[in-house]
Amino acid sequence: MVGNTDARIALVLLTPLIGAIVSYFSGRISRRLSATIATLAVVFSCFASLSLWSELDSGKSFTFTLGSWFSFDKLQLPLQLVFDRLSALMCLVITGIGALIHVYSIGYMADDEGSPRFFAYLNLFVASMLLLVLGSSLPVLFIGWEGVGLCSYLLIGFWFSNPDYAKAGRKAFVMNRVGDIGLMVAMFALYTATGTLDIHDLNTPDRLGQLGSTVALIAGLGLFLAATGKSAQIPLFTWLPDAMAGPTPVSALIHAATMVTAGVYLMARMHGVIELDPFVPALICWTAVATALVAGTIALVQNDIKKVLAYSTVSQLGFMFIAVGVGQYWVALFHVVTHAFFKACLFLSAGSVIHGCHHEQDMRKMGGLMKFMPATCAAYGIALLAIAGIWPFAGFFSKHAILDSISATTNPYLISYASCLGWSAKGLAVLTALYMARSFALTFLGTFRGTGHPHEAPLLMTIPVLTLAVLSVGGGWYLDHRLPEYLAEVAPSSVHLAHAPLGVGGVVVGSLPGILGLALAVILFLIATDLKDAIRKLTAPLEWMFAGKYFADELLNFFVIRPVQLAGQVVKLIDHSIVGGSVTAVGQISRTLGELARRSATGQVATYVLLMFLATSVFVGLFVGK
Amino acid sequence: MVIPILEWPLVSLLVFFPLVGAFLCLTPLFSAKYDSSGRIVRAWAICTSALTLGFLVKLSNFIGGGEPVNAASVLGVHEVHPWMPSFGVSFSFLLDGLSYVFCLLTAIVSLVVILWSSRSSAATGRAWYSVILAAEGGVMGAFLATDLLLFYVFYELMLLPVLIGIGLWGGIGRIQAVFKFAIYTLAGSVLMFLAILYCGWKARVAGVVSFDVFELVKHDLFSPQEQIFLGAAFVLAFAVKIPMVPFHSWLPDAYREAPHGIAAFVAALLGKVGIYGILRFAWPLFPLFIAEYGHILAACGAIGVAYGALIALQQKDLRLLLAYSSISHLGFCVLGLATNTPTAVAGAIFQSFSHGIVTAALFLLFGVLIDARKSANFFNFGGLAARLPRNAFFLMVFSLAAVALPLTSSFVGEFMILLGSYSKYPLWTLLATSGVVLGAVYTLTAYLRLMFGADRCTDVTSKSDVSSFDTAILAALAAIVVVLGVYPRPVLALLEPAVMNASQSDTERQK
Repeated sequence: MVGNTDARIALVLLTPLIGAIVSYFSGRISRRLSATIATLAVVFSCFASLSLWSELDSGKSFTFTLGSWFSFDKLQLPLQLVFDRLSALMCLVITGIGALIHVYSIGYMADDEGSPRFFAYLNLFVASMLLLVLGSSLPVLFIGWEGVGLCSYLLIGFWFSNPDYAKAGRKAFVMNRVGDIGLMVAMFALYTATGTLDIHDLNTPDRLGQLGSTVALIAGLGLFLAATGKSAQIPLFTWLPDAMAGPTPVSALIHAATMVTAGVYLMARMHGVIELDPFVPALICWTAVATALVAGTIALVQNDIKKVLAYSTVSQLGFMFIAVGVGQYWVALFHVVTHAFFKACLFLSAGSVIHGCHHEQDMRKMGGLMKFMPATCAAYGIALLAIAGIWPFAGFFSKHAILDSISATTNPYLISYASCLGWSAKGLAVLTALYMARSFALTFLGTFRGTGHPHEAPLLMTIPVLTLAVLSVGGGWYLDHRLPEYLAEVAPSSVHLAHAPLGVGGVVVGSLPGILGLALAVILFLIATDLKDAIRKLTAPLEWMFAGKYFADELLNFFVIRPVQLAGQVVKLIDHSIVGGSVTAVGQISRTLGELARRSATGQVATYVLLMFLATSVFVGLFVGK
Repeated sequence: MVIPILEWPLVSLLVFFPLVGAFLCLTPLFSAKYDSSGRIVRAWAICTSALTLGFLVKLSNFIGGGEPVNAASVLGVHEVHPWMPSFGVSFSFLLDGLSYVFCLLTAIVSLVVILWSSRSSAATGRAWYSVILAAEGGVMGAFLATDLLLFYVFYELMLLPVLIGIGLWGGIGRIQAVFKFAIYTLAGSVLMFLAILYCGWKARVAGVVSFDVFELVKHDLFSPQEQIFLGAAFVLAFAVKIPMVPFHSWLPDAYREAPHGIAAFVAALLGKVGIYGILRFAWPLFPLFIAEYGHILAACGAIGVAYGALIALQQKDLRLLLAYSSISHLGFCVLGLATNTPTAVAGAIFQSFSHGIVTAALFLLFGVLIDARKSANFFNFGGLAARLPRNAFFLMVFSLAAVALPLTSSFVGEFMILLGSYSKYPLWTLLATSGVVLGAVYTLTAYLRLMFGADRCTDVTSKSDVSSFDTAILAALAAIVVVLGVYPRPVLALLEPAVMNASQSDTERQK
């Protein structure tokens, strides 16, 4: 891509990286200092992104080359960064929400001895995530891709003396690695076919024309596999709920607002390759619907407040991939942004609740918190309306756009199922409102069921939460007018959506699924609890399945982990008996020789080694003499 | 290609400096009478090994790295002295980009093993330093010799000090391990020795009295059938040495029984001689072999990656874990060698270098843990991150390098290998990528068992942690891993002329 060189991009990227190092070491002086430095680094990076973004006119982009990386023969991969409109959007979300969450973390982690390590990891994460969205070629993107995986691993297992937390970190890393294989294979296939890995170059019609149908399929599926790993879609979604072992700000930043949306970003970036074979987008779409349904129903029966939000994130990511599947990338990114607002708000509110209830996460031991922490309750409520898709909250606009885009699909594999897809999506919207309202009712309404005295979070924590709540109100309305045109050139959609302003009727119809879900929740959890119990009796087998999380972990264990372990045992046996056994004959001889050697090897060590040298020099000398 | 022949024996100094140093360690000069504390001999060994490294760095001026590849560019320095002229055997050493990378690894790892101070108390004194220096000289000779017979001499010579080291300071099963190791590798190289003699005879019949690989290549002496048989003999010997699955049975025993320093040396360097030998001798001499049987080697490499990783998952002994993970990582190198395109070959060499540094560091770190706990079974560990923070930090760094995280040197090597091999062997490449996931599983599992979880090692105090002196060594190694991961160009520039030239001569011959 032709673009002006601008060193500010390096500032955007390197400030959090330097911040990570400085904040870690400054932790030896004062933990408060370390936290402040880390926060300022992200704020600075945010301002640098803003200043670049403000100069970003239509069709323009900035580039910066940090140096050469791979440079061998024809393989030339510089460490190059590109700041175009898509990167700009992602950078603003990462650094903006990142800065808010850093501020929040100052309060949340104030009592933790290891907080300098925490802030160093958090800054390192921001830097990796920025590299992911700024990288101009797939391998540079891959550095960030693996970097965020590493930070996620380190932060999930932040309290590593608990083996379960450490194991959750390992699970996240390994499942992401499975996805990474997809990205690697896609890179190999694309490079072999075209000789380039530059993202912009790969998506030009010339290059796309060079890809044969097999390469297109392999690359498309590989990229999607990578996205399922990072963005927790079927079959690689079970790591995300476990990842809630990390501190809550981590869940908000990494496992809700930014890292998990990297898959959507990758799809938008590589849209040319994804769309070459229409089977790939169709597969994405169906996988996304299935994921959203599975995760949404599991969320319905969770009792841990963070687990509800985790499954909700998986489900919302499913919504984004539905939009990807039907070829409306701006819609997917729209939902990425609004979701970042309201889900970060929800997570941080949940964090305040957990903080206020003295590290209690079980909603059965909460209830009635509205009067103890009104600000948090208000924020959670606003974000709830946003995620439920009620006008004029942010989620309404992005969800409405997703529903719109489904009916506009031209994919040959999807077109005859468009109405089915549309109704599924509407059903999922009802489900979303239902399980979120349940969590609200259990946490904030009714009477307090726990022990101790819950208290409102300190100001340092409530301000970021309320800021995010404001964004959850106005963000959707603001972006709805601007985003389609803004992203038109970087992530063009195959079909143009008729984007007429909504009338009163559109607003009501669009909010209907959300209202329905909320109403259902009010009836079931507040008014007619008897009815809820009756329904529960009828749907006991279903509940058993939801509560068991569709036995995804058990299935994974049975079909993947056990077979791999079994294969390991079989291979080990073969290695021991056949491969090693074939040298037992030699081993027998060696044993007899060993006896002899042991008798002669009783002398002085030095003499022994000296003898070896003498023998060698005699041997060499004899030959030279000839 | 123009290679200047030096008047001064600068290159052979790299070989004989450590060898003479090793010999002097054993003279009465360093006996207990004059050097009761053992400090003088330690200083002597450090000097010898550091000077060798410094000298090698100085010699880099002679290597034409970074310059554009053309016929006139200087590719290296060749040094030839007659040895047995009537047989055409000579002391000929070549330092070019290819041998330079391997020599550099040798010099670095030897210095690190000698400097490393937290080794178990059994392995101290002048015999220890003598063994390491002798091994360094032997390995250097193997990496520099271009005469086939001279190469063979060093190829066997370098084993002796290593075997003595394991035999003297190894674990309980050391004698058996020594003999398994010795007999296996000797048996592997017997056929190569015969093949070398045959090459020399064939050259003599054709009127070329030489064992020098470049002379032999120049005259194109071998019929297609001879190429297959001779190539097989060479590759077999090297396959045992690397080791390539299924010729790896000697390795786990040797790793488990060797003292930590020797194990680090063996793991980092001996196998690399096999990789180097294939590139220097087998491929140029017998191009038809690789053309015909490359796919079998690629299969062995890719299967080796999965095979080693699957067994590594089952290991409970830290040293065996490293042994099988090495087999897995070296499978990538074999895949790269089998592909034989410039990118893949350069990747294989880079991976060899990187694996050498990373494995040596891991062995030394595991050594500290094993000595602290008097056990190598990782169920006896747990929660050490708080007790041994330095060890935990460096173990994390090198573990991440072992799983080839981008911006570590291992990623550069693995990525180039797989990128290159995909164009030729897509399915085997796909199998090899399984190592990316399995590697993460066994590495992170080991880390979790050792460092995370409940504190189960109440007897371990911070005294057992890596000393500040050793911290500096580890920091230097970590710096190499990261710097080459971020900026691999210096090494790739060294390799570019050497590798491009080799593959060019291949394509020319195929015409």
